[in-house]
Amino acid sequence: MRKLLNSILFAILSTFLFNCGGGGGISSSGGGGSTGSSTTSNYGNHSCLYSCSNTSNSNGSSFASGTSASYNASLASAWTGTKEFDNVLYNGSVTGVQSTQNIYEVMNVHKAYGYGLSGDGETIHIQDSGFDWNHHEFNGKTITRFQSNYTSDTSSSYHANAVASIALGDYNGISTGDINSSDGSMMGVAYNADLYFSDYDTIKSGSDYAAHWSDALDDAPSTTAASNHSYGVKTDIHTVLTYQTNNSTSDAATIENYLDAAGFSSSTSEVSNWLTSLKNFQTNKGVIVWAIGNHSDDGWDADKVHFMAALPEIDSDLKGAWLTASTVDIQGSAGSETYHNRLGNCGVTASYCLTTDSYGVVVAAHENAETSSVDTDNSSSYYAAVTGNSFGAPMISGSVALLSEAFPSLTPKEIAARLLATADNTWFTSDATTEFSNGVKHGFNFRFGHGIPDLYAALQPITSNMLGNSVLVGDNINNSKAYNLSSSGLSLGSSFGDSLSLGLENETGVFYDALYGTFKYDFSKSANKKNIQRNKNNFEEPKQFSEVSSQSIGNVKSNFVSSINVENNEKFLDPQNGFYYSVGVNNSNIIISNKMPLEYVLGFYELDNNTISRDKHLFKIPFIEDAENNYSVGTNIYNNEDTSIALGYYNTDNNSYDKRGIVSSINFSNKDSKNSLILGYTEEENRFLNSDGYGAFNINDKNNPTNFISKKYLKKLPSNSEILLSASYGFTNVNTNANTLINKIGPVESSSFGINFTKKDILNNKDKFSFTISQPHRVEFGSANISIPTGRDKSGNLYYKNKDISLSPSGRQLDYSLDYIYNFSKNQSIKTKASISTDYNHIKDNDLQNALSLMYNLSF
Amino acid sequence: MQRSLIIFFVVIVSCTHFAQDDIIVTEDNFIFNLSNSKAFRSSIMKHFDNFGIAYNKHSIIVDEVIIDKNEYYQSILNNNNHIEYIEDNPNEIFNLIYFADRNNEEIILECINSFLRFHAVKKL
Repeated sequence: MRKLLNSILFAILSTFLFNCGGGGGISSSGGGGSTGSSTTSNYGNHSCLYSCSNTSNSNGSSFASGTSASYNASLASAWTGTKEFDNVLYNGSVTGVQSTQNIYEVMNVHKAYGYGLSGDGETIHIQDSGFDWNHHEFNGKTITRFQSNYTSDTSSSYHANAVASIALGDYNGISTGDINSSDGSMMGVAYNADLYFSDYDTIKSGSDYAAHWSDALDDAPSTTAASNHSYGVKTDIHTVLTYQTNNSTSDAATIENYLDAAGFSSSTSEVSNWLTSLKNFQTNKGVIVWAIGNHSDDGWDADKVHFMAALPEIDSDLKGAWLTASTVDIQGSAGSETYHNRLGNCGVTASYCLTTDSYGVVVAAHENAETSSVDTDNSSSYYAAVTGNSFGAPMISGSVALLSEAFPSLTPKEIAARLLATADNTWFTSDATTEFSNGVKHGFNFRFGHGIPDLYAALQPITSNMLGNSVLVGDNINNSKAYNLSSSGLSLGSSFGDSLSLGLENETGVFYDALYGTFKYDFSKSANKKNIQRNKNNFEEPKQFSEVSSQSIGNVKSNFVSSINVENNEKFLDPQNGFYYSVGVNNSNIIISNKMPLEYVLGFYELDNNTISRDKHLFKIPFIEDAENNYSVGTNIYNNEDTSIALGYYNTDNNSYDKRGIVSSINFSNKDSKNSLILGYTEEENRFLNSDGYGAFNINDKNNPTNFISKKYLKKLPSNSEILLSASYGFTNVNTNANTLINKIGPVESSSFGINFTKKDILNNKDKFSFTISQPHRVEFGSANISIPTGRDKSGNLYYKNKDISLSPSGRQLDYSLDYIYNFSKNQSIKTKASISTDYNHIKDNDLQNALSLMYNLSF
Repeated sequence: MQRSLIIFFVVIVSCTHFAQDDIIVTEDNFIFNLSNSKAFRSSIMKHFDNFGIAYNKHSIIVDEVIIDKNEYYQSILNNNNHIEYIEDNPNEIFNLIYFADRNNEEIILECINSFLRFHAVKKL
């Protein structure tokens, strides 16, 4: 029986198609060779005010703030083989034309499904007529009806069913047959969205249509993402605008005049209320989607647009979250298709118009309800092939619902902008461009508007040279400071180890594109740690110095020490690589130096065999810069045989930061021991403890002071042995910038220490053995408070999660090394070194780092 | 003061009225000729022309009055089903208008508006 009715239904199809639209049309050549109007493009002719950059989400992870699902290409591909998905394409001909491409696939609806989107949690408002909520396509949905006295469907009148099924028809997952088979069905774009229905033609109460429409909008559930209108009064917008100009009537009075003329009796005040409701809906709920007229209708032509679809031309405040729908008939297979305009032009609404192929699509028809319950087994629901702009509008409404699910914090206006700015317009020549936020522009055409919606493109970050993928810092989008995402990070010095990485582990941040779409990314990638360069220091060629001048004139002494270089087996002075000059009287002197460690300048340690290569971790004071571009001045204000007091100042000037400090040292020595103490104060500009912040983490123009104390104790032991103890401890304060993601850092306490035992003359008087345990510079205490961007709301307010992070790393690196040197002669020696590090880079249980070297040295 | 209120009341009542016996002028000054079905059809098309409402004149069908179905149409009117009836049977509008009480302008206007919507509003 049902198949028979289906046969009858298809037999009368041609008549229905004629009623809904169809007919010939203006042909527009298409195909891949068509020119676009805009400059560089990302998706279609989506372009930017200046130039576009890559819109792919190179930051990995998921695309939006609404879901954590990542794109699944296999899932997307699987959808294209689903029967209900395929059935949307009518496999017969419409007035001799047969489409071969499924419009859902052309719109990349399946790719939106590949992200896990389905319209779940969203509601679509269908204002139409001819409705039956028992139809199988509405099975399992929450259906809210504004009124109980709506016009029900009949076997020949089921327009609301048809429109709603394209927007949100259910996916039952069990249909395997074609649409006219017993188990055949179709599905809507947002197949999990719920339905809110109102009748445009049968009013709930009273006699004022504008009041009825206003109340219907006001009562729409808060989850309503789109309000779909696939009907219109057959009066061209230009006629209405001309009337308003000639009569100087208000917007409401003008609209009321033409509603009354069409039998929609309304009062001016209620039309005004309706306009307010439309604006409130756009602000607080969703996007208005309205079909333009079918130009094949009686007395209509392609250049006209129903005035109700073009209301924003009367009241410009309605622009923004308002989209119109036209139809393009795509003929031919992908790659060789041609595009035909058959149902009218976007006309005056072109700048906010989208087009779909609603020329020959399968929709829900009537439901032959024998009971008042939903047709769960699809036994009494019917389907039909239709054509008309009516069915393009719900494709757009469904797309709006999917985007609203993906971007729940975007305003309806921003959702509409994403659809427009990413529509495929590569197949026609644009007449003009619409400019969206931050320089994103998109070309549109009088016939086809901005083109065919591309949901996959709309789900990607959209960037411009004005605003790339960005981290926004501030209270609201409108007053926020934007930082380039790829240039934002915190690169902590080696003393912090893995502290920041651990603190930000599994944290998800949100970045924004040029249309303020929100995208999730792995926030822990903001932390980059610097590795301890221990092994390199162990084996690098030591810098050698030579005392080249030492003069005494009376009680005035001068001393000049210079770096030396070796080329072609010849040694020559290389003061540009480091020098030291002192001049003194009696027990005091003044010292200047360049590229020499201040510790040496102040006598904290001596050159070892004319080198400064002796284990850096053991002797280096980590708070004093040893960069190449430093200079220092110092003075020994007191110096006798066993006591010396020195003061020093150093300054390092790099391109990216400055570091300067003052230190004082006091040394006590006798024939068996040497005891040294250094107190110091340093300032780092634009960084702290060798840590750098960039972009949203910058600490530019801030001086970050460290107070430190260092101690060295050398004790000579019997049998040509000695033991050396060295330790440093510092307190660092960090000043952060406003409008960055760093709220607070520190104070930070850090340390380093080393113990060395050396014994000479083991086998004979030619060898030396030493054993060293040291800990590289490590943060002991301290925390940071970091703002992690979590998203925005529809008012543009920005939200963050503030997190306290311990800056103390998980492990403590300890380096153990054994050294043995045997000097065969004055110019021959052999050196062996074995070292092992635990918790390498201060990361607990990090792999052991071992090194063993054997070096033969021949000087000639 | 009392006289002024009475005059105002008269003006309101006369917003929609029969200018002549067979002509109805609505609050919005829409004019429809109710003298016979052909005149009514002509006035409808003139109304559409005035407001730029697209139509196909061959689709604007207004049947002649069928006197014998008096009771049938009276029943529809009495049961207040005239709007729905015209939505399904627009070409029978003049039968309903003919048998309606000419003093009940509300019913006549509801019939006309239903007929206007059928032809002026389009499901797309």
